[in-house]
Amino acid sequence: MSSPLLDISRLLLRFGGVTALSDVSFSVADGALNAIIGPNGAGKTSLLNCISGVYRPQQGRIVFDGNDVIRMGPATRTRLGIARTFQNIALFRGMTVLDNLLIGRHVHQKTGTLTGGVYWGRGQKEEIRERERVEEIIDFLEIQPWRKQVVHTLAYGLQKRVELGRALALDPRLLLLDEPMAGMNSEEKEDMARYILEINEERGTTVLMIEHDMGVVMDLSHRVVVLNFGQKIAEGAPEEVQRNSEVQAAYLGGQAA
Amino acid sequence: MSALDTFPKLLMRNAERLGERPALREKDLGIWRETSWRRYGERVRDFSLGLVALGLQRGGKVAIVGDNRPEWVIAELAAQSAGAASVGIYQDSTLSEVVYVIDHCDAKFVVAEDQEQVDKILGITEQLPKVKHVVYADPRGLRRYKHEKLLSFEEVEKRGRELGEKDPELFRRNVEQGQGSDLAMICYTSGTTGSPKGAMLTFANLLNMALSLHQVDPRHPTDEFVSFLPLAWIGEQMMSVATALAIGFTINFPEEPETALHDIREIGPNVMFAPPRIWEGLNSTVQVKIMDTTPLKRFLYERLMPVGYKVADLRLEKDGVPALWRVLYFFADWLLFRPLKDRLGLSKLRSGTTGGAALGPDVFRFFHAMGVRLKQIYGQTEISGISCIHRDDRIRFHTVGEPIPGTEVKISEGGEILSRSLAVFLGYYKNDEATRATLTDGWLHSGDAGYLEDGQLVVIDRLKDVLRLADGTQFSPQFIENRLKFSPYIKEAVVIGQDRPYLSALVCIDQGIVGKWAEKEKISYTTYTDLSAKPRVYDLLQKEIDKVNQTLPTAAKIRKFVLLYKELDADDEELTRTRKVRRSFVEERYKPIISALYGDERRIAVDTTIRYQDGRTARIQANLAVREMGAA
Repeated sequence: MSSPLLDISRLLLRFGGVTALSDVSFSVADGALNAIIGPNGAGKTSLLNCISGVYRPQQGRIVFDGNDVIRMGPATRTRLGIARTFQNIALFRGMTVLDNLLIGRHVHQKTGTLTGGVYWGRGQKEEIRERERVEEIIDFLEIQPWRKQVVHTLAYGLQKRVELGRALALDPRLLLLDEPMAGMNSEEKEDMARYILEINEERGTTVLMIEHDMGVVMDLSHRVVVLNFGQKIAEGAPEEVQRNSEVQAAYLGGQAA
Repeated sequence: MSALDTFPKLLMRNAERLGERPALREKDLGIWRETSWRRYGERVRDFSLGLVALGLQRGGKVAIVGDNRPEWVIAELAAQSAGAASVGIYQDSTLSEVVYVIDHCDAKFVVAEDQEQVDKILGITEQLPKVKHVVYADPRGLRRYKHEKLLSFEEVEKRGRELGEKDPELFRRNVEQGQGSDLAMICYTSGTTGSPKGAMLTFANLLNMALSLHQVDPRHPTDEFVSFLPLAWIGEQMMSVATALAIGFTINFPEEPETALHDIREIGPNVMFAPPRIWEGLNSTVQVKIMDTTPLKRFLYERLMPVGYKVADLRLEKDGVPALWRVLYFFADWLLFRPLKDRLGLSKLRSGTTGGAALGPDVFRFFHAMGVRLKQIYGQTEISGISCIHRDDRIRFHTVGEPIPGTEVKISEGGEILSRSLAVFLGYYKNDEATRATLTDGWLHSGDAGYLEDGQLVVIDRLKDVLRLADGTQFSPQFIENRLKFSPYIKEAVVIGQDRPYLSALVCIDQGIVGKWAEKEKISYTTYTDLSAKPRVYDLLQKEIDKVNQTLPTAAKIRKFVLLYKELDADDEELTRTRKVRRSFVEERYKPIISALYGDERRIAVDTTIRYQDGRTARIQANLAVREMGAA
């Protein structure tokens, strides 16, 4: 295997006196579908925030595709190919599904305010091309019936799908998903699992997700990283991690048998 | 070319004559994409030769399952071009239904739309030893599948092109060998009892029906039609295949089944044929939207609708419309009906028909009021779909119209509706016994009870469903159920009374409308089960049932009813795929509730498990109230 797409070493993140992450190191191979698990407050979302550039860790290195990204802002990282979804849906609630997705394409648009504004020539061509890309995503996520609906009128599960769509519109190489299945019923979960698998297998996008549903994690992910109190306590294939006594202790509390 | 007596011959004629005019249109990636008649012909040729290259023979069968899209009809015509018959399968059939139909029809080929359907079929290949090839149209999610029997639509077309290069005249020869008397398709009827039966229809049957219908309800080559009902259903075959080929109009396929109503609005069809539930759906959409709209719009709606109703009634009774009403209607049309029709996609509708079941007079009047002259169609699969239709100037809501040209209709001594025409089918596939029971001297036994009224046919009910109370009073549960279902608040109803002292009903509320009503009345609720248990919902429904009771003879009024804790569902086998109630099954399943309806209890405890579509089960515990009519 070639060098990993994402390499994290010795990450330290502190908020005042609270240590959110300490000495966390792991890597994600190109084309992988990996999961981060851990009890509440273990630092999973903080870790994702460090990768996407929301938090800046005090120590450590984050190398994405050969570039040290630790000093880059979130926008720069997005252009490099890191996209994410949020635990609590963060869409533009008052805009339509289509517009939300088109905004995802914005980083790839080259025309400026003027050329885009007059909608003629290059600007027009680009607009049509971007709409086509967005339509492919709509088709992929099967959200055609809601294309022109305003996001806040949609059911929760659908909003999650739209958010995934917006992340996909960025054409990411690394997709970070923060609890993609949270709050879904089992049918929606099954659909979401299918989309994540297809994103990984058919589009070849590397996926790193935080998920609480152990069934989903065990079925989908290639490798699992387990965090507890800001520290990595285990890493490996799902079955290995499941058998790890420290992991069982972290989840069940106290001393596991 | 010889006479235009088969679908493939008509297709070749259209490809030649209509050339680049659109034959099919499909919305894909948000844009309507056209297939011209020429291209339609080419795709059918390639796919047909591909099937031949894979071993399809004359007299063979090709089963097709999936949502409506061009590949469905291309596969069908390709099979017919090669002298084989097509067999449509409802896309939401249960696994056992799929196995039964594919195996029973002896199909060697199955054309499946997508991963969902392919998974279904590959999962049961050992039960389908006759199937040699499974062809899929949409490659999504299937790229990594490796199965010896599985291949893509493009692969078959490619093989067809190769064969076509070797023998350029083969396709033409195949088509010319076809005759009107050849088997075109086997339509499996949904069967309220027992296994589905496969009705064998020839090209002659189908084209006879198409042309007879055309005489009384003409279509034009410039017409637009939206195909959104299952192509396995004879009604859809009648329009999207038989009539479309004979007349040469354009068929539009929606993007997804869920977007159909929206896509109808974009297309603005000239011709539309739909079962009552679609028309009812449009009607209730309007009612719900009006409740939510601005006061001005609601004011206009409430003032102008009566004008429409009045004028519609005058027109229907052929009394002539006085000048004053004409003027009022003119304004109502501009202010209300045109915008309304535009919203529903009915602006250009010339021929709107309903069939398959009874449509409530209120809904009928609603459409007539806004200027959509909705007509009723009646027929069976066994007579290629249609035997009767309303004539434009003679529309009575309680009848199903008059026989189409070339069709005779009479009532047997037992009160059964019989019909005879060139569109009557050959018989049931591999089921002579059923054929003998249905066909005598060319007369098709419909199994429906009915009578003629001034040349118009009135359908009462299925003959076997006309039941008797313990004291011998005859009643038709379906007739009463339909009356009940005309109420917007009632989604389904099952009337019980066979050998019982009085009639009672199991009623399923319409969650959308009752929910809206509850919202307005400030009644809070959580689930369907909760909503249907509210005493005030019971009061509301009691009023609705009372309205129906007033139209029923004293001996056959509904005495008690229960609001069910769940909707009846085809997946629970309570309804057929065409949403008809499977009475005996329902009566067996809800036995404890029914015995409570004939006992003294005021409440009945229910503890049951229901199964969701994904196979999970959930337990429902409820305490149903038994409501006696007349008692508050």
